[in-house]
Formats: sequence, structure tokens, C-alpha cells
Amino acid sequence: MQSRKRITALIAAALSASVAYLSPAWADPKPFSLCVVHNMADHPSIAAIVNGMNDEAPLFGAKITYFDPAFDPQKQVSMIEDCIARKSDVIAVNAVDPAAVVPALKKAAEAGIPVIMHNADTNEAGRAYTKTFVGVKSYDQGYSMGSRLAKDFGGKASILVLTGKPGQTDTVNRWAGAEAAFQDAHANIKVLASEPADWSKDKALTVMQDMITRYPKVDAILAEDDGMALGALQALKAAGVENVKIYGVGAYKEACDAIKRHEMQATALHPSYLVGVYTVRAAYDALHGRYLPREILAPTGAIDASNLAQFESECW
Amino acid sequence: MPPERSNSMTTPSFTKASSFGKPFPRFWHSEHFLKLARTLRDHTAVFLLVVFIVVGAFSSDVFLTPRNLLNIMWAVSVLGVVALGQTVLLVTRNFDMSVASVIGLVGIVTVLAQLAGLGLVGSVAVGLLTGAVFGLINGLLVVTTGANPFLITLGTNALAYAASLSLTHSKTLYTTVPAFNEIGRGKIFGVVNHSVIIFIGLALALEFVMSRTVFGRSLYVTGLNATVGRLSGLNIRGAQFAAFILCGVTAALAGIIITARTGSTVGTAGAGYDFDSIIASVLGGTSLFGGRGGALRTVVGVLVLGVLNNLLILLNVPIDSQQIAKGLVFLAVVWADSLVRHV
Repeated sequence: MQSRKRITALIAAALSASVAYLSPAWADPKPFSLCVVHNMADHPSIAAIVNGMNDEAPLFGAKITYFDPAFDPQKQVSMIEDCIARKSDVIAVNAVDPAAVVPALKKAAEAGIPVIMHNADTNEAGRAYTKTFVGVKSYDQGYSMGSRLAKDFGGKASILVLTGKPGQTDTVNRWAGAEAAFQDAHANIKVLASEPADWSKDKALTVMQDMITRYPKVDAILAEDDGMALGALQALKAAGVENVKIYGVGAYKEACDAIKRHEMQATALHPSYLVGVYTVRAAYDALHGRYLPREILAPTGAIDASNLAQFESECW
Repeated sequence: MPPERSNSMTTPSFTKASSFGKPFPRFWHSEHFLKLARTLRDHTAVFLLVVFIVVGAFSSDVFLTPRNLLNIMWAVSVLGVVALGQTVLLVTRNFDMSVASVIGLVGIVTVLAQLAGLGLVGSVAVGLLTGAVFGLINGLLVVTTGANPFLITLGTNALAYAASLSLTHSKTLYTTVPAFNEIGRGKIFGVVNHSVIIFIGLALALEFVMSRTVFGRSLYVTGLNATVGRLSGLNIRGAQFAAFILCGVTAALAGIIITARTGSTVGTAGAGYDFDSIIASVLGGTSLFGGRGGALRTVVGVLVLGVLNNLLILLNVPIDSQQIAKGLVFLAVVWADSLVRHV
């Protein structure tokens, strides 16, 4: 009896959830234009965001136009200005540079166009002109890898670090998160060397080959993104160095496979597809004057061999 | 100077009058200094290479190990291949900025050919052909319009990048032919990487062609004085076309090596190789103003960059200081280059 009641409750909950989820589609939403100024469209993570946006757009009536400034902050500013000139209903921006984008955000706000930040946020000054930030906290990703690493080595390890492009939001925040995790765990983690590999697998491969020549007796490698972690893995293989635990960020398909083969230790979840989905929903809400929280965060956390099965669908 | 296009990179003449209408005498305009500058300029790369190697030998216990030296060769081989093509083009007083995206595009096209069922030879041939086609397009646009090659190739660079995006739908592709990956990872006799052999072999071949053949000499004449070359019956247009196509093919070769190394493609695989290849060529002694340079010089220039990169990592130099070191080396060389040009 008890269990039947529970099942009924579950079904009711599921039904009401799906009603809430699908209601915009039933209402045959009035179309609105969404101008997306993202960055580096050929990156698999951005591609996953675009997939999420494209899948969600018809449900909310969003007609999306994409612009790609390819890491050029000035180009991003002029693209946002183009979106304003086109009189878009909503603009969604993935900041190339948190500060450089602010004047353009201000212009959009003054034109009465709601702006949603996604994937990479603007700075404190820019937040005055934006409705919300949709994304994954890179700080949290760094923190989850840092605490995982500290735990794996009982609080004592010497490591090599591969960072993204110096100065970029993810580069700075992922490392800040990892360092905070080391401190919180009272761990004695010695960073032997830290080098930027600019998010590139090939560059990580060549840089790590030099680093491992200098420090062959390292315990672990922390890479700020899975592409670089995989490049490092290849460098270790080429150099014949074994028993080094590798940590990445992003849950690339290739990294999840490497974790399965026990060649990589762990990666941090980065559900880009959900970021795309949430961004379209937030755009709809912003346009209709609904309340939006300051941040809408997709979940993150460590993926390793033990929980890979549960999260494998989020690997891209 | 070829009259058909303006050169945006010319520096002010040294005899230019000061605001008082008199020549402005400076130490670095003196006869002695210019002579010294010319000697240094002609041998900058060798000089720097020796200095870096000595510094490396004394400051790092692993620097001179065979493994580290082979690592350096392996790390520079891709840039080296691109820089060789760029050198040929620089000698004719042209640039190719499109290498950055052609490298990524060729990797993608090569893997797509593999996915379509082609084997090692077939897919590599398709890749090289793609590079040649882009070289041909660059050549056609620059030679027929007479426009600035820097800007033209920035344009085709955007086109190549767009082609990469649309061919992959922004997805990463993985190589399917194991023998292909050996181009980037395999070693001859288990010691020297294939890509190193490709780099050195290409350098020797180009050095021979550039210094010992009529075609090679016509490249230099094209860069020095196209009008004189034309009047003396040299095929100046042909030389420019060939240089552009060659640069496209070497970019393609680099794209193939990178893809074979990592086993996967990304449209931005060649990011930075546009400027780095020009820097390596100029560092080696090839002039930005055409007519001077050579393949073996570029090998030395590439090695200087490779040893510098390797040392900065081995010595654990922080990234900001690394950039300062690289910037200063390049500025010094470019300055010497423009001084010598007026001697």
C-alpha cells in the first residue's frame, strides 16, 4: 500500500514536471530573436552548448543567430553592437574578456535589450547590465579536481600544472579553485612547475615533454582542460614515464575513455549541453520579465572510474 | 623595390632630416656600427644558438642529454616545416598568414578522407592537395590583383577556418589509420622521429633548389627587383605562384604531422604558426624585405626558438618572463634586419 502510494506520487510529480517543462511548446510560443555572441565555435564544448541551444530553441520560440569573435575581445564588442543594431530581443554573450566586454553590455542595457551571460561571465562592473550568468563555475571545477588530488595522495604530492591561456577567466579561476582545495584539505601539494599550453593538445604534448624531462619523478599532473590532459598523457607514454596520475577538466569523450582505461585519474564534469539549454530558458524568462537568479549553474563534480557509468552520457 | 605594390613594412630612411633640417647623427648610424650590425645580422641565429646551448649546458643537468636534444628537434619539426615554406615566400617578398588555418583544415580533410575509406597514401595525398589548392588561390589573388599579400592571406585564412568549421560541424574527428599516426609518433631505428627526418630532408632539398637552380635564383630576383627580373626574361609570376603553392604544401605537411601526433583534429591546430613561422625565418636571417635568406638559415632560426622554449621550461622561468625573453630576441633581430637593409 505504502509503495503504491509512493509510485502514484512519483507519477504525479513526473507528470507535473513534464507539464511545466513542455508548457511553452503547447502554448505555441511567440517567436523571439536571440543573438548569441559566443567564442571559438569549433571547440567541442562550444559545439555542445550550441547543440543544447538548438534543441531547446523551438520549445521557447527562440530564433537564434550566432556570432563567433574567435578570441578577439574587440571583435566581440562590435558583434554585440551588431546585435543591438539588429534590434534583437535578447542577447546571450560568452565573454572573451570579462572587462573588455563591459561597454558593449552597457550599450545593450541602454537600448533596453536584456543580456544573458553564458559559459564565461563578465566582471563586477558588467554584472550591473546583465540579467544572469548561466554556466559552470570554473572555480568549482578546479576545486573538485584539487580536493580529489589531495585526497588521492593523502595530502602530500608534487605536481606539474598545465594551464590555459594566461589571464583568461577559466585559466585563473580553475587554478584558484584548485589552490583553495589544497588549502582546505591542509594538503602539502608542491607545484614543481606550471606552464601554459593554451588549451591545445599539441602544445601540451610538446610542453609536457620538456617538463617531464626536467621532473621525471612527479606524482601527478593537473591540466586545466581535458585536451591538455590527453596531450600530457601522450607525452608521458612517449617518454616511458609511468605511475603519474593525470587530472583534467571538461569530461571530453576521449578523457572519459582514458579514465575507463585507467590512464587518466579524474576529470571535472562540464555539462555544456545543459548550459545551452538553460541559456535559452533564461533568455525566454528575461524577455518576459520573470525573476532570474544572479547565477544559473549547471552541476559539476569529479568523474573517475567509480562513477563514470553514471555520468558517461554527459561526456562529449 | 617592385613598383606594383606598396610595402607597408618599410622603415623610415636613416638619412631623413631632423626637424631642424639637418641629418641627425646617431651612434647606430655610424659606419662601424652598421658593419658590426651586418655581421651580427648575418650570423645572429648561430650566435644566439651557441649562447643558448652554453647557457643550457651550465644551468641544467638534463639539457645536453640525447633525449632532451631529440625532444627539441621533435618539438620544432612542425614549426620548421611551416617556416621553410614561409622562407621561400619571404624571399619573393610575400607572406602567407593563411597557414594558421590551412594547417587545421588539412588535418580535418585528411581524417575525413580516412573516414571515407582512403588509406595512408590516399589520405595524405588529399591533404597535401588541399594545401596546394590554398597556395594556388593565395598566389592567384596576390599575383593578379597586386594587393598586399599579408591582407589577402588573412582573408583566405578566414575562408580556410570557415571550411574547417562547416566540414566538422565543430566536432573533433579521430584518425582511423594506425600507420598514419606513425608519421607523428613513430621513430626511425627507435631513435629519431619521422617528423624530424621530414623537416631536415625538406630543408636540404629546398636549400639545394634555392641556391643551385635557375628557379631558385629567380625567387631571389623576384624579391629584390621584380621589374629587372622580368626584363631579363625570368618568369617572375611563375616564381611567385610556385612559392605560394610550396608554402601551402608545407603548411599541409605540418597539418598532417600535427594530426598524426595527436590522433585528432581541431580547426585551430595551426594557431600561432603564422607569426611564429615568419619569426623563425627572420631570426634565421631571411629578410622581411625579400631577396635574402635560405632554408638552412631557417633551420638554425627554428632551432634557436626551440632551444629557447626548451630552456625556459627546463629552467622553470615564469610565463611573463618567458614572453619578455622571446619578445626581446625578436625585436633585436628585426631591428638589425631593418638597419642592415639600408647599408
